[in-house]
Amino acid sequence: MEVGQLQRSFVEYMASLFREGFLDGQFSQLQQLQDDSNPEFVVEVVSLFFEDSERLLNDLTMALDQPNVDFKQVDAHVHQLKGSSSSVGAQRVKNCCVLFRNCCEEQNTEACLRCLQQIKQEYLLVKNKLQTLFELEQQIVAAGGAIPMVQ
Amino acid sequence: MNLSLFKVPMPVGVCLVLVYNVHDVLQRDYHKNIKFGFMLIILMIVSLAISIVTFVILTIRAARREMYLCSALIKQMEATQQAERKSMNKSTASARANHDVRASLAGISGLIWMCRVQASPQSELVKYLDHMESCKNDLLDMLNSILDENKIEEGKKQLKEEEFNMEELVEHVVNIYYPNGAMKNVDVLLDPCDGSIARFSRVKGDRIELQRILNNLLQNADKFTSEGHITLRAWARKPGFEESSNLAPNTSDSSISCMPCLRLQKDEASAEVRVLNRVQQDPNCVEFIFEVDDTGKGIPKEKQKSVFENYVQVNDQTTSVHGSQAGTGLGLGITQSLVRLMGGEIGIVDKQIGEKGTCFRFNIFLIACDQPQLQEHEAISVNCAKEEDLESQLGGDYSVASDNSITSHQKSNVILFIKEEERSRVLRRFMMNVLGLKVHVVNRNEQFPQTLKKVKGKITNSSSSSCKSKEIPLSSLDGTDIDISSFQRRGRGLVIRFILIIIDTSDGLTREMSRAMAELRKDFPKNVSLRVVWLDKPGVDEDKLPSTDIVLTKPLHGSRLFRVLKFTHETTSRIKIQQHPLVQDVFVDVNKKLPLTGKKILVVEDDRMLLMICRTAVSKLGATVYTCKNGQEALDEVCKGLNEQRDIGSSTPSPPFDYILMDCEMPGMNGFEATKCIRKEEARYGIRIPIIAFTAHTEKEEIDKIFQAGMDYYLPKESKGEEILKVIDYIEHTKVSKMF
Repeated sequence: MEVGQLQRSFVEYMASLFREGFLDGQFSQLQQLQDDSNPEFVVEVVSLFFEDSERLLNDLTMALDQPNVDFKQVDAHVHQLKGSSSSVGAQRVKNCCVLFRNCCEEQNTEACLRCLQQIKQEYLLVKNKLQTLFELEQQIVAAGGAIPMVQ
Repeated sequence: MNLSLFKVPMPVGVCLVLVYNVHDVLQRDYHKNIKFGFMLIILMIVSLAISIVTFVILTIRAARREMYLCSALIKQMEATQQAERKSMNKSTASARANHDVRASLAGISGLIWMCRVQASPQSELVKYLDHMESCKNDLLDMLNSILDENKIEEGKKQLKEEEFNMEELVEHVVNIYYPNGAMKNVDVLLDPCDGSIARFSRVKGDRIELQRILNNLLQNADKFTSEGHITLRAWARKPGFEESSNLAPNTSDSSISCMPCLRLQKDEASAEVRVLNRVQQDPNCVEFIFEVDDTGKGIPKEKQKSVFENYVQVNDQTTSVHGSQAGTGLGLGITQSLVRLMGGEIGIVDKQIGEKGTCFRFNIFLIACDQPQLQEHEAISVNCAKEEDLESQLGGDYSVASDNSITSHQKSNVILFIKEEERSRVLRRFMMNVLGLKVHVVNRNEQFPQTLKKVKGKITNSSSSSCKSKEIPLSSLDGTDIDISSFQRRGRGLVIRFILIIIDTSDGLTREMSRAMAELRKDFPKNVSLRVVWLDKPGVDEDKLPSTDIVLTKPLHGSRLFRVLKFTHETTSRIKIQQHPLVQDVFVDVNKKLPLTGKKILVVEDDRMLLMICRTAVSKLGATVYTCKNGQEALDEVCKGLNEQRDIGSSTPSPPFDYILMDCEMPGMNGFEATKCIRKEEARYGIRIPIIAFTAHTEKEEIDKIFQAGMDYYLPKESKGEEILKVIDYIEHTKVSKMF
């Protein structure tokens, strides 16, 4: 595929991610922090987000698997996940976390499990989307083009 | 009657007598004759016999020789046929090998590409893969060159003419051998000599062949050197009338015997070659001279001539330092042919007594592409290998010897602390002689702090007492090329002096040295800019370094060296330091005014992702960022900073940080507690550092907690550049308004 085509698909894809609510303004701000002196900033931050999130989701799964669920612990985990997803701009994940916290306050294990399921789905979705986005970037760079800035 | 009877027998008697006499005589003569005849006959027979015998002997000998010659001829014919067969086999074998090697190389190429796709970009892995790719390309080139070899020998080789960058080429070649050398503690360095290569960097010629020549010489040097250094020197000049004396002696010293007639012949031959060479007739022709100097085994005098003959190895036993390094000995022959094809000559330069190793020197002629300077000033002839460097052995304090009190305090200073001796010497020579800088060499860790102190003392004195003139003193420039336009100039604000410190930290940084560095940075005079270059790794945490510091990986030569020198806001150099389009300016331009330039901000955050975001956001605003992972660390940092103030004993202590961005929720000591402790500590010094809280909660209780703890303001955790700046502005305004 030639460079122009790749760049166009990239722009469209990015726009769709914002439109569908997967990413929000925070992600744009993250992109603005990236420049020539720091060309892999977004990728690095997002990688850290993936690592932290997966760890947290594991912890959450384990915590909710206990016979006596420690809701304070669960709340703390969700709080952290909310914070990092919010920083990265993963809007839908963040929204799920907000819902999750309500369930925690109610101390409703069933509801929490459902929320956890939903968060996992959202997380996998956004992870997939972001990875596709980065692959597109790599393809553009490999084809010799520059990555277009999306407002 | 009696008488008459008597008379008859008388004549008879006489006759008889006569007869007897004759008979006697005859008999005697007869005997004689017969003897004579016999003798003659015998003689004849003997001589005949002799001649026959001789004839026979000769014939036999001839026959024998003929047999011998025949057999020899047959043998020779066989040998020739065998050689031809071998040659044919060799051709087919090399064609097959060529094909196989190419296939393997193609395989490697594909695999490298696949690795690269899977590797995360900007990691070390990608750099290694790039290196592998260029090694593979070099292998391909070598393969082509082996096939070319015959062409050259047959005289059918054509040199390509394409534009290329000489500086890049020499640096690339040196960098190929640098890792190998580093593994066995041999430093491989590029000596810029008088910097003339930079002037004539764009040239037209056959890059591949020149690289092959340099590759070959460096490879030999690498093979035979197990300690010390390998230096590639390169310089350029316009060919002038001095040429005739220079070409021949370089080579004839050692490679040709002392017979003067041979030497004369060589002169004529080379002179003829010079006249005929098309390149040299071009007015833009530039002569490039290269030297590859090593401290290895050396080549014994008697073998020096024969090394240029193909297939002759100097060492009979193969030296295997890393695996089998059985050299084919092929290289120098081709190298000589190529050099001659390029109009030059190659030879071995005699080293001084006591110096071991070999030094090859060759010159070639190329066409320079653009000539930036029309004037021909003499390249400073630096006798590269022979200078005595007693001063560098004495250690740091040498500047006393060359003190010119009028101009010395106006020269910029460089403090050089490099482990490798030869590299240090080369750099010092270059900076002193070519760039006109004042260089202080530090050889041992202990000398470092005192050197720093001395230099700082000198510039502090001179900056306070000297004139405020912003013109560059012409005395230190010698009126040759001054290229100020390539550096930023802001009218009267031109900084005229700088201190450049180059530190090699591969062995680590001692506490005295770190302290000495911190000491140097404090209260640094404003009209002098300070630039520190860390080689290999920074002495302290990279985040704690001011943004003007540079961290480079070794080796420091070529483009890296020029990059370092370029950022020294002025030049007194006689060369134009060119900007390579390939070299990215990684460093933030210091002169661009960013909102938080010069501010020191401490970010305290335990989550590493948030820490990374915040750190990047703050440094993008121009501030110097320091980081901590929890409250305790932050407290320690602040206390340390305050203590240092006290140690120095300044009357108005300046706060160690201009702002602190503190996360509220952290393990161990959280943000609130840390703030309270910091406030207590600060009270003892009468300082208050503005602390901004990062919080995920915006409920009222949280806000109250924040202000109760002693923080000044708050921000949501995911804040990036803009918000941070807004809050800082707000704080500044409230501070100012409080003052009135």
